[in-house]
Amino acid sequence: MLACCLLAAAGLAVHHGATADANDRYPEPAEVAADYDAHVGQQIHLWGHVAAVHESSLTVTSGPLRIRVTYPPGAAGDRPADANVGELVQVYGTFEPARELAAERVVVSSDAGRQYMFVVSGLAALLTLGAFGRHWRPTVREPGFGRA
Amino acid sequence: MPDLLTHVLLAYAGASALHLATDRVPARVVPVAMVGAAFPDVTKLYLLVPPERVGAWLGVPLSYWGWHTLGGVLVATVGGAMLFPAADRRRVALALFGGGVTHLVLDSLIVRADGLAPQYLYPFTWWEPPAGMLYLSSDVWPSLVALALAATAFAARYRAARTPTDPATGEAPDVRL
Repeated sequence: MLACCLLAAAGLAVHHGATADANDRYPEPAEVAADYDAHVGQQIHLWGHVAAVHESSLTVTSGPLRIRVTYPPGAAGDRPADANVGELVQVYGTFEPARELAAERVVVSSDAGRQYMFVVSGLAALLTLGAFGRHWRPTVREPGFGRA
Repeated sequence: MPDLLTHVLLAYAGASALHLATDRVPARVVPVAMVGAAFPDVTKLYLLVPPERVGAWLGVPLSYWGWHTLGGVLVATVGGAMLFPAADRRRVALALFGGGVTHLVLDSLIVRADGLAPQYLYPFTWWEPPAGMLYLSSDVWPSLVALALAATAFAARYRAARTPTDPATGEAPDVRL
């Protein structure tokens, strides 16, 4: 049964890897970088990093794609002044000619917040292991866990 | 994801509340729910072992995101429960499944620029439900709320331990974290 579950887990990873792109509503940044003009007019939910902050736009990189994010009237979310170089950013928008992405919404994740996230996530792993270890002990004869 | 701390603290608080409410949830099941709540983030393995590299080595496309889904939680529930004594398997499975599902629900509340949560119901459907738009993974406040709830649950269990439920034996309930 356990072997079946391990096989199923491997199967999920392979099946997801093989089919996720075809079921994704947006193009991959690498595809866009390879042939930008073919994607003009398409929408994307882009995850990238801020490469430069301008007065009314951002330069964002995502893998091989480097693009200027512009803010048409009505664009929602964070403004260019809310972003710092290197921070993680989500942009939902439409590709325009001349390598511009007209944003509908921009969401910036602060670096300080992300560092906090990684540190407390490490603590959480230790906390979980500690709590688990107070109630359960590894068993050898039948690989698994028994009551502590 | 909200940070992993938020996930495991909320699982602790929820499972502790059930433990206090009913004898059918013994204390040993609480940390199992925490493990279940942590499981979907096994996808973070990509930081150490990039799936592209493993996939290239095996000659197949590979994505760990298949585990951060209802299908992944179900496989972890069945596989995980098999590692425990038969007498505990059913409640362990429920705790793993409950923890995993709350993880996916909390992650679907994250702010997404396109307003859509990821395809967490894979492999059953590729549907993208509307995102809750409540918080970012990097926001601090969800973990503070979770910490307050977990501290309340811990205090309630501590108090219960000081109030023996069985006057004949004076036996205290199990309050190990």
